[in-house]
Amino acid sequence: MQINDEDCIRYLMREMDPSEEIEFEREMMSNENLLIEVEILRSTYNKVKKLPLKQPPTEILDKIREQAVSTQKKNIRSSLNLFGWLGKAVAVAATLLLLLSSGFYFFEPVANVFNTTENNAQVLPNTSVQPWVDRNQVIKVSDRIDAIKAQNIGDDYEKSYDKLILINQVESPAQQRQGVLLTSSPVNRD
Amino acid sequence: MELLKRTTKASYKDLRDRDLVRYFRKKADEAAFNELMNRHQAKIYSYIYSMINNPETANDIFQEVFTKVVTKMDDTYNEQGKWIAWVMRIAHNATIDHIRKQKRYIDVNSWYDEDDSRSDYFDRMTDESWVDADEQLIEGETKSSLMAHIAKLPEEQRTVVLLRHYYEMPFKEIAELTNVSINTALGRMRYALINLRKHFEEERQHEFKHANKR
Repeated sequence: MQINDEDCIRYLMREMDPSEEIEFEREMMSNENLLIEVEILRSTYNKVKKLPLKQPPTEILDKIREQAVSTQKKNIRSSLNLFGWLGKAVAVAATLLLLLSSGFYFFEPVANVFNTTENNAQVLPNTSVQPWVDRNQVIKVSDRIDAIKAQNIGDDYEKSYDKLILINQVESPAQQRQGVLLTSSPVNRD
Repeated sequence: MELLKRTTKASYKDLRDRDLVRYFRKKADEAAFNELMNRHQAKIYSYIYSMINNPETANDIFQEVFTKVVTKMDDTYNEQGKWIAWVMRIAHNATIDHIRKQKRYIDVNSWYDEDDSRSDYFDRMTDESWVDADEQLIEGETKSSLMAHIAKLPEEQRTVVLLRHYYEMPFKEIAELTNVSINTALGRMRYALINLRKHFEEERQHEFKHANKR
């Protein structure tokens, strides 16, 4: 164990861990100088321990007590006053907030009606919808089958645009899905 | 009624500092404040007195400390911490402030007037069961010479010795209060004890010379 000068004080003042204490005592047994130093410090510290407690004068204590109680009473009173003002301010603010929010609540439906019609006008387009077709995905079959079949397929392909309907005119989800499938799916002729 | 009074008094004694402080803060409870004072007044006063070595000034500082304690308690005292440690910090700062102010104007050696302090010191000594007058005299002389030797220590060393003695403050707290590292605080304690030993030796030699002359 490496002993510092401060370790003697830590040992004397009992500020060492029990394991450190045991090590320090072992060190003292082997090191006479350390033992002497610790004993000298201990005897001096024992003298310091005799320092007496002194009582403050009674008149000072009475003055302090009187002053403390009156000051604290004043503090409590002022904090209560402050709390009263704060309470009133909070109540006024809450009332104002309630009035404002109820005002908004009553006026809001009218504003919403206007907003809704405006929004609807923006959503509904005036022009007809043009379906998007990826031309690269169209399969040319005229050179692989006979002319009549090819004509029929071509007709189906041309008419497929007519089968597309606007979303808001769809009666059931199944019909909508069918219309979308027309663009590049094989035609079911059955 | 008397029984109720006695019970209340007893219950205040059982309360922790923290609870007494709470009573005082909320209700300006005089009994709670009295109990706090009874517990700590002697230690706080002894610390200030031993640092200053002047009864009038010690009284003023003691009063000033409690004025600060009461006015600042609502703003700066955190109930989670020890009340006495907080009060001690105020007492220590007030004492050090005074010493530093004094250092600017007055010769440091005039802090301790042996004759003056001795008479006042015995006036307010706490009661102890001394066997007879002779023993009382010897005991008193030892204690007053001890006070004189402690007064001769440098301020930093004196602070550490007194904080440790009167508050049994751990060195970690002493270090925090005096804004130094723990090792510095431990070192100051060590040098204080070495210096005190030197003073005691000088005193013994002085007495020995006097005895030989007679």
